[in-house]
Parts: sequence; structure tokens; C-alpha cells
Amino acid sequence: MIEAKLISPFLDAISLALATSGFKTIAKGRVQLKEKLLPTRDFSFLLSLSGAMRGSVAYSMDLSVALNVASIITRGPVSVLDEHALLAISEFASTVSAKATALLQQAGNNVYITPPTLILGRDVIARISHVRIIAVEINTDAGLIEIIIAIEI
Amino acid sequence: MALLDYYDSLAKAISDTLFEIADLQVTVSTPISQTSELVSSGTVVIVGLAGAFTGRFIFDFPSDTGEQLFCILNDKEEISQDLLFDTLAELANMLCCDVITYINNRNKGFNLTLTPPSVFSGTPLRLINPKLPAEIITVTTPLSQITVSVAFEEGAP
Repeated sequence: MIEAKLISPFLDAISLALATSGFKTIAKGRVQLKEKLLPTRDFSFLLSLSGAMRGSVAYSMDLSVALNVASIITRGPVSVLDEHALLAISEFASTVSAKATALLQQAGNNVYITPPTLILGRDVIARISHVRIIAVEINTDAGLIEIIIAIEI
Repeated sequence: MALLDYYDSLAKAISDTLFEIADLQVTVSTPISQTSELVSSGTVVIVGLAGAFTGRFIFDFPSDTGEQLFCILNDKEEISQDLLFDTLAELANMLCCDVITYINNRNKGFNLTLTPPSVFSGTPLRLINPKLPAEIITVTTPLSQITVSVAFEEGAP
């Protein structure tokens, strides 16, 4: 039940944002526990939480998926993550953040989420928490997105 | 950026802390506007800020500087990535705690809080907050330079 409480707001937030952006396929995939030191994909956006729940959530995807996401959001082909594409994905990340905040507050959690930070790199290693980390995969029109959730309650 | 006067407390926290715990004499530059994304080839620590202002501090440690700090602070020569990340996260957290304590004590109602630090390394690593104005501070140490990027906007108190 703790897992559901942790996962749902962040899964629902991106699902709502994807649906609003015109995505048709949004299917929950594997749920896994992760080590605290974990490799992430080429592109992530990071949300950090304080208040009733503290921690971090990273939405992580391969570069090709990030390009597909940008293409669908901007309704045009995107072959490189230039300033225009990054701005579009940043707006999308802010929408996810706003929806997650609203869902958490509706559930009675007085939580603040910081503005998203976009992170791009090769061979990225992350440590976003000392606590247990849950990763949820979602399959979308753009490809696989992994939600990495590390929350202290 | 002028609304949240973080610089003096951050510069003091960095100078005092690195001297006290690592015996390092450092100089801290005045902030300049960050006009492009932050590119790191080492380890970055991101500490979020919430309250009357929302944003983040990013500390960029070049690889060799991060490793040397690790060795000094832990009195060890063998480097483990896990402990390296923990050490740099704790250092950044200490510095940010000093800053928000100083600001909260002088600005009732700001209620600034920090998020737990997140640590990333990559080759290279690009960090971008497209719509958040940021400033850069350069910390010159005997090891090398550490870069601190500070960005925030008005939030919900």
C-alpha cells in the first residue's frame, strides 16, 4: 500500500500530462526496487520535494525517446534537443510537476515540488536518496519512460 | 534575483566550512548571470529550495576536486563512488542549511526549506532549467574551482 501511495501521484501526473499532449498509448510496465546508486538513461527531468514528503522523483528516458516526446509535444519532427525542444520538454516537465503537486495536496499531503531540472548525459550515475527507491516503467507512443521515485514519509 | 539576498551567507558558509573541515583557504567570486546551461565533467549535487522562493542550488565538483575533497574529509585514499556521492551531498547540504538558516532568521515568513540532495555524474553532464534565471559563483580552492549555480523564483510561502 505504501508503494501505491508513493507511485500513484507521479504515475498519474505524467499520464495526465501525456494524454493532454496527445499521447494515445500510456501503459504501466514493470515496477522494481532499485539500489541507491543507480544508472539512469540519457535524459531525465528531476523533481525535488519538501514538506510532508521529502525526496526526489526522476523521469528518465533514452535520448531517442526524449526526441520523440519533443516531437509529439511540439507536433513537428525534432531530431536534436536544441533550445526550442528543451523548452518544450521543460514546459511538459512543469506540467507534470504541477499535476503531481495537485494530486498530492488533494490526498492531504502538504508538499512543495521545486521547478524541474533537465539532466542530459552519457553513462549517468545518480544517487537521489538514501531511502528505498522504486522504479516504474511506462510504455508510451514515444517509447519507454522510467519513473524513479525516492520519497521519505 | 535581488529579492533573495543569498550571496553573503553562501560565500561565508563556503569559506568557513571548507576551512574548518578541510583546512582549505578559498576565494568566492561575486555572482554573475548564468547565460547558458551548466556543463559538468565531474559530480554535481542538486539541492532544491522551497518556501517563499522555490529553486535550486547546483554544486559542480570537477572529478579530481571531488575525489581530493573525499580523501581529505574521510581521511582515506581509496575512493568508493557511493561514499564519494554521500560526502559531496553532505557537504552541499551543510552549506545550503547555513544559507537558509541565515535567511530565515532575517526574513520571518520566508519559511525556506531544502529538499534532500541528489547527486549525478556523467560524461559530460548538461543541467538545464530553461525558464529559471540563474547566477554562477566560482569558488577557487587550492585543488581547483568549484562552480555553484543558484536559481530561484518566487514560490508559495
